[in-house]
Amino acid sequence: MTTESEALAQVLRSAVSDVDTPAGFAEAALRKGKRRKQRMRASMVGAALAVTAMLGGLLSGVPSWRADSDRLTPASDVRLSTPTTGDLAGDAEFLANARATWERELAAHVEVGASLARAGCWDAVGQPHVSWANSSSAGPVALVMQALRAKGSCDSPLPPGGLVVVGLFGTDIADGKQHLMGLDAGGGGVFLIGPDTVVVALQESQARFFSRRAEYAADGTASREWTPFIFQDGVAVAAVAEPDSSRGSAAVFVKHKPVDPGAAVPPQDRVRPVETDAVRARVTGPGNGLPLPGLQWTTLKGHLSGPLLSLTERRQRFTDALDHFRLTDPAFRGWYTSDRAGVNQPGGWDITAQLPDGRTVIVSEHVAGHENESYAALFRGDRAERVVRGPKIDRAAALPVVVRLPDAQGWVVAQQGAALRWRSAGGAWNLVPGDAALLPDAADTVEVTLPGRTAVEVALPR
Amino acid sequence: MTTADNRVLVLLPPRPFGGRARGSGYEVMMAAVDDGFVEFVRERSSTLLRTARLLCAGDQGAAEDLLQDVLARVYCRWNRIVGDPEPYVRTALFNAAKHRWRRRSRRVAESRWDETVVGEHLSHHDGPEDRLAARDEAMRALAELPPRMRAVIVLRFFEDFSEEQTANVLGCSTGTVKSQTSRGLGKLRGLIDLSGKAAAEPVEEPR
Repeated sequence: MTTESEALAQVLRSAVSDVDTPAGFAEAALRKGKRRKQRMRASMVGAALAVTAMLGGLLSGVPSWRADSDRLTPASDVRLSTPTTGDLAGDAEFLANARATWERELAAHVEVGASLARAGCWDAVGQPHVSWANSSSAGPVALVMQALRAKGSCDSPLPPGGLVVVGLFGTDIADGKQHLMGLDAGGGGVFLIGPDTVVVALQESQARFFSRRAEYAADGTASREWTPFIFQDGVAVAAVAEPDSSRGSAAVFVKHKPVDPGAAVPPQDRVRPVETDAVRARVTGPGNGLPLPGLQWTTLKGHLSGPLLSLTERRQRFTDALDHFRLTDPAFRGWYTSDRAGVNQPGGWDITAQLPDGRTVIVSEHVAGHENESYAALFRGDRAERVVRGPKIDRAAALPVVVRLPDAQGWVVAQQGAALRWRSAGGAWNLVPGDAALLPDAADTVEVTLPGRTAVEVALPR
Repeated sequence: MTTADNRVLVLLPPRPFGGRARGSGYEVMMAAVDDGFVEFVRERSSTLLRTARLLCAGDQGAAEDLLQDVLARVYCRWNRIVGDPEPYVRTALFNAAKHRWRRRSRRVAESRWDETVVGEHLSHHDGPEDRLAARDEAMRALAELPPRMRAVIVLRFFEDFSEEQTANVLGCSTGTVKSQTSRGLGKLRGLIDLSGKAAAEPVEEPR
């Protein structure tokens, strides 16, 4: 692309780099899709009946399309009338507090946290019901549920027959007080809470196994061990945190146990949890939840030399290479071809260069959980020959990207927007034209100067 | 690190979604359809929303509504989509935007980018105002383009589509795409800095 085209692409990407969907967006889309399907079915049945009536005067029976909407009536949900279970079921004060908090904070979760409906477009039906209350290492927790229904003439994503939502009541580590921590509207029914990441899973979520983290072997390949949930009273509680994990990878919940610990997990088998810290941040904070992971670089001048590939191709090659060598978390590996398009991915930066031995390299980051690491994928022609794992990326470091290439092919370094110089053995400084560079293997020091800041010397790790 | 001279990458992407349900019975089929659909939306909706937001010139509410409408339509046809559904959804998004523009006389005016987003960010983030101003400028500039031209610009420069791909999505000739691109760039030149100097400025902490 020309400079002008690249500049426009950067402007557009930068303009929407922090755009994210609200929580519950997928569930809302599903409900809207179902409603649309019902309407289409109803209109088809209506048309058929009208034709029948015109032809034969026959107009009788209950339309078959009514069956679906009838099934959605929350009054038929037996969960709302079952006795409270759990070891705190007899703690009247705790249960009352859970219900009172639910009534006080439900609106924020419906309208902001889960984006189920806009203000004035929904009503809570009946009283909140505590179905389960128990002790946990994250403090006392309770599952509260209540039926909601659409109100007024809003185009609400709530189904016409209403919807029973389930929420987790517990302690927010941000303020140490008890709150409604998150709402599930029929999606997963798996909640994560507390500093030690306790998981509360409902049996109806279909989640049957969990994996605390991806395990990485010495050669960088990733796999996951799976532990079955043990349900009692329809709820399983487990601690999924791995505070000692050197690579922050997310806990994953699945319906079926993968046969091979290193095999990719089919997306339809995963059950996505409600991450209550993110939900609370959304409800109470600036409205944007937790910060996006990764460097979030959008203006790095990453093409250094070699064939000029489109951004899509660069991202695809890089991700394919990591997946192929099983360096990525199997729970998130190789989902969709378009997932690798990269154009809209947050932090979709990369550095491409031709190496002295003729190979080409793509250096970028791979985000696992809340951490990200740098990788260099080496290609001979179109073939991915090798992938080298660089150090964990520290976005606050003076030089966040430092990857030493194998076979004495040099170093790839980068700091968006910085002026870079390098030298070896105390020799003269060599100025680099951009904010990313391929340095000779002999380089041992890089000087990084961000605009308006003093220069920092970084010793390359050998 | 393992050397892998004998491990040659073969680009054979897996079938992305179980569009066709496995098992037997309507309930089982619908559960699989729902799972696949929800999973797709969860994974790709942020990406799609960014495109929608550009098509709506920065109006987050309009972009969310547009995408929700498209996804609801796609859900009805979900089990008939073979292969990766994203290209299908993306095309549907542009088509829906096109139809939406045709109905624009009946719609509520789009919120201004600065009203809906910039104000919110300024009050909550420590990021440099310059960057927010640049985003505001970009969205204002997009809003100045006619909808079809805006779509061409978004497809060509945000989605990185070729002229042929853009023409296919918008249902027009490549000649139209070329002329719309040229005119769009001409208009944008007067509204935002396309010299590359502004883009080279570091974005310190987007979020």
